[in-house]
Amino acid sequence: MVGNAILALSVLQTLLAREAFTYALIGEDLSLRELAPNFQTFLNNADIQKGQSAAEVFDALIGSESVIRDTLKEENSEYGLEYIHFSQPNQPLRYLSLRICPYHKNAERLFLLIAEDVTSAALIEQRAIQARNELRLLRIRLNLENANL
Amino acid sequence: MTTIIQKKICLLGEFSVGKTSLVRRFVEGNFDDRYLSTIGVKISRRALARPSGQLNLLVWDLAGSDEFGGQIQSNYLRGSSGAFIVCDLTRSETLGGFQRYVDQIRAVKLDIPLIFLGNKADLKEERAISEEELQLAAETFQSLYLLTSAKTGENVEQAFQRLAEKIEAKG
Repeated sequence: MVGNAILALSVLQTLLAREAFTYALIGEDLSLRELAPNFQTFLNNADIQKGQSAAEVFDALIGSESVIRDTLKEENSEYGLEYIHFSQPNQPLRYLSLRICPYHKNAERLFLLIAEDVTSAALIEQRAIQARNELRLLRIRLNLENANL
Repeated sequence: MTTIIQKKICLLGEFSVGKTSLVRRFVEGNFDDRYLSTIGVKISRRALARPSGQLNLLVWDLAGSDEFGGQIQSNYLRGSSGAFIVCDLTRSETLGGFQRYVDQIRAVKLDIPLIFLGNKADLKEERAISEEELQLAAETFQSLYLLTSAKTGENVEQAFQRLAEKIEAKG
């Protein structure tokens, strides 16, 4: 049992070190309560502090406090946002996916927020969709030209 | 003391109708006619000075619904205070998606102001949707419509101001 816990911790540390994702515990008001060791580096923002709102870090959460609370009333529920453009000055564009699920710490009801860097997958998908859409636009134009002939 | 209110609004519509260009025109004041399809969501901000104070609009530029297999992810829509539904005036099939977008908004129990935009109004010779058709579609949903051009800026500012008015009127 202890061995499993140590392994889990070691795996988590390895994953965090790879900067593929980060996490934080947040309150129902979306305030940041606990931060992963890589939270600031993952987001390239050394100014992020406990106590500030997660919505100040992720625009996508602004105004969503009640929506998230309502969505996460059930124990196994999850609130997710896929492929959010995350741009910062002098940094390449990244895509993040956010997941929020209920989390209990002692008696306090908190939420676990996980931010995952999905840039590689998003860029591949973007290129595929771009090619498909350009093809569809060409087809539409071709059909129009044919109709005019 | 100045009151600052933040509101989330969304742009919905088929691929390549000009949603991203409309946001860019509104937020950055410029235009780029290269087509780059959006995936996921890009959130931009702009503050509007309103008689009631400052209104910070968080503009959610959503990928065309085709990119989600016909459905916008419901969490993208939740929490919105208003939405634009956009068609491309040079592609008649883009008007047909209006009902689907309205249905998706209603499916997440949102009762929000909508404005229908017929974009690419500058391409007059290629127009495939008449103003009357757009008006009829908008009236079906008791909504406003505007002809816009992200390229020239025609009616873009007005569209966002009108949506802001409707959001404020709804309270």
